[in-house]
Amino acid sequence: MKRIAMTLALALVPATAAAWEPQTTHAGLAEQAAMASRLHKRLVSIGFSGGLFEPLTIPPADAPALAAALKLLSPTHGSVPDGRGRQSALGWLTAGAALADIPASQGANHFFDPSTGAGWSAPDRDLSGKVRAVFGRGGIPDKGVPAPDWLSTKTNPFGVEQFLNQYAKAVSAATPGERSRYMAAALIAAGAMLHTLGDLGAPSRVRGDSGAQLEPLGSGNDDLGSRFERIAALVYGRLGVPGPSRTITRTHLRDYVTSKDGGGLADVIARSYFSPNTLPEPTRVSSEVTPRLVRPQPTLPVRLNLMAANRDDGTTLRSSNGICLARYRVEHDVLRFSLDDECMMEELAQILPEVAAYETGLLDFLLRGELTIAVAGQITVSAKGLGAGSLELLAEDDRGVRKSIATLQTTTSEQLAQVPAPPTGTRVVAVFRGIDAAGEPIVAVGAAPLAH
Amino acid sequence: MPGLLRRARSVDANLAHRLVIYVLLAGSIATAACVETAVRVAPFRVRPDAAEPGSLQGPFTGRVVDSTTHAPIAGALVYAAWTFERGTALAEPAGAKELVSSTDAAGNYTVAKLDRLPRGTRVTEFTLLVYKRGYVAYRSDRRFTDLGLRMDFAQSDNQVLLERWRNELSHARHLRFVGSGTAVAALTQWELGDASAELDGRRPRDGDDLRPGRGEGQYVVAAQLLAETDIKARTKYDGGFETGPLSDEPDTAIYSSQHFKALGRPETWDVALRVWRLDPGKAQERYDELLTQLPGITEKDDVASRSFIAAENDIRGVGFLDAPRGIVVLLTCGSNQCISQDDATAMAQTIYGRIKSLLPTTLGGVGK
Repeated sequence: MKRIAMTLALALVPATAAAWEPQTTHAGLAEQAAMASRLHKRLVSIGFSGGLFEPLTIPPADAPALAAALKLLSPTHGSVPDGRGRQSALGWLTAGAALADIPASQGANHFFDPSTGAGWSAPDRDLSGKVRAVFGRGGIPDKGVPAPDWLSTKTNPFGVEQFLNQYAKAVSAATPGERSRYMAAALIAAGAMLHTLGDLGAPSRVRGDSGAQLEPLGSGNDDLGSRFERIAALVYGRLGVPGPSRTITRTHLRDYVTSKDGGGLADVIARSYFSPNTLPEPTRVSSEVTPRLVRPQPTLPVRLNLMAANRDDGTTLRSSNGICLARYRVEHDVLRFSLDDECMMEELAQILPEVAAYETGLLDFLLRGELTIAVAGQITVSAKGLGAGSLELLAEDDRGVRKSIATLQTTTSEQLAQVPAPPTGTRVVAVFRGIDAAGEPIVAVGAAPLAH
Repeated sequence: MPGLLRRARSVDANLAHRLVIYVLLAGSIATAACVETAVRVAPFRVRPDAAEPGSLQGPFTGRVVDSTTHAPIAGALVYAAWTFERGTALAEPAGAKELVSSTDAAGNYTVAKLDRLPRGTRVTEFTLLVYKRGYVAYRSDRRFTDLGLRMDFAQSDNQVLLERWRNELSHARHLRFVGSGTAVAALTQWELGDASAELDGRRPRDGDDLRPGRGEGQYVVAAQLLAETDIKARTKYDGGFETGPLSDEPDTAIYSSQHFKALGRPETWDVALRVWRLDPGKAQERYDELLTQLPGITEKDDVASRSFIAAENDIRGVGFLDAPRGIVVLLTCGSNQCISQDDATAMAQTIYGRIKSLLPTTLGGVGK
């Protein structure tokens, strides 16, 4: 009865979702990642004393396209600035998480199949004629940039290059107003990157199952989307998204998505869950029943419970830790697998904390660069794990204005610079731009008070 | 996937809880196939005692009371927002419509029906938020205590139980909870410092000032003082407004504004309201500054403690000082909207009446 009620509910909820919903699930994941990450402390350390709740401003006149996009978001979800373009640092991060799907075609860059290395490919099979008729082929791109490439491609307005560029300026710009604007822009880029990574927590996005994104969900012909992702929005909204199960640490940005050790989010999800169109294939029941797998993993147990599968409501295929992976049932001597809403809800309860864990890790990765500054007659700047790059030191006066006092190229040594302390000023800040020991682009920052 | 293994234990409990959610949704959505597709089916009942789903479009009515004493709460901010979406399959957010009002002396609120949708969009959500300083905010979609799905919101005759704020509650959570509607943000921005202190592991400041009706300054925002319906009732204007704060100066703890921008019309149809909340001495100074800064001033003293009218080209203005409350108000109205100066003055009277209702002098913080 419960299952019927739930199924009916979802069958009749008119909904359209091309991804984890940007203003609910994605915004909630970004908030959870922010609260669990080093973001608050990093913001405080570089002069944004309110941390996650520091008001930051991007005047609408400075970024009219951004202001227009932000007007498309609903204020109830915590990511719309006021008329002057001001909201908290946390608000800007969640705004980035929501803006990653604007325009909607950007969503095509949030897919990655680790088994093929491919991203989104518009489905031309497994679609009903009705859906195809409504959807056509002109509404979405035929191909998308694979998600791990999208994170670092130069054409991504919210990619890692944009983040690092804005983040560095958020420390080195002269006035507090400029730094506020750059920090907000850096957080938008970070939020959008979290979105791109987080989307790969949906099994269909990492198993080449683009057809799952076009399921008719509601009564209207244009109500198409991922049922799995819609359920997430209905059950958790923004505020109910669970926190991270832990923090994932990786050496390379791409490793958060996919890595040789199979520890990327896409790797883990792709081998752990089925998606609607990558379930084991229907199999005629005979003395030996071995359904053909579309993908090598998840594997099936050596023996399926065919007795239970012959019951009217069939039985459940569970993972080794008891999570529903699919239902299966024998009907007219054919064994069939399916994914129902309850099964998806069990999966979501496991997947979302994992996605939050990866997002927290990514945020920490982006902010990992830390400079230690010692002031004693001389200013000594040191850091661990950095490669070659350039270092800029700035002195801040009592009005909060920063002026460059030294710029130098650095190598891989732990002590990066030693320069005379400026005669005036309240604080010294330093920004390193270059690569880390693993060859990844990095911005490292630090600050220390000046005692005069 | 060890992380997943560790989290298996709570699945059954979670599932049972969520099934209850879906049973409710199923009951309310059964008629979905019959509704127009531009408006999704509401996940709430039409009335608390009904099984039928309500309408995302509204109208909405309800009453706000103190959860402990069940006394009505007057002057609570009532913030309503409809969320829009457009597109097929690869959908995108398409904006929102906000409405701001307050509860009346009996704690009642009314949110008018959403009269029009932006072209090519569908309504996907309606969210009601009720807030009064000293209380935990109420959302129609989620509970504050556990951030779980709210099951008891109803379109009509809704009852909102506002819980008093307790010092052990988290300001960081509360700020996430209330979202970022301009009027809401203006009322809750005082929490930013405490939220930040929490994350730093520092103790937030003493909570005594959070008691209802007490605290720092007059926490009232411009959007609470004048509504579209007030303007239309006076001027008989039959068009629509886009509402929001003015762009010339941001809302702060002492300043708040609301711009009623007439849709598809020149600014001579616009109305703008600016409100300053100061201590009485500074309010007097601010009022005097307005007298010297504005053109075409004539002192009238027919609203509140002192008042003036002003005029320049196609704009009419009325300003007044409410000395006991430390409030200064400036209303400007285009000459197509306010045909005569009396229209602007009548609206100023409405605003003053609402200030008296929201900030009765018997409560703390007023008439210092």
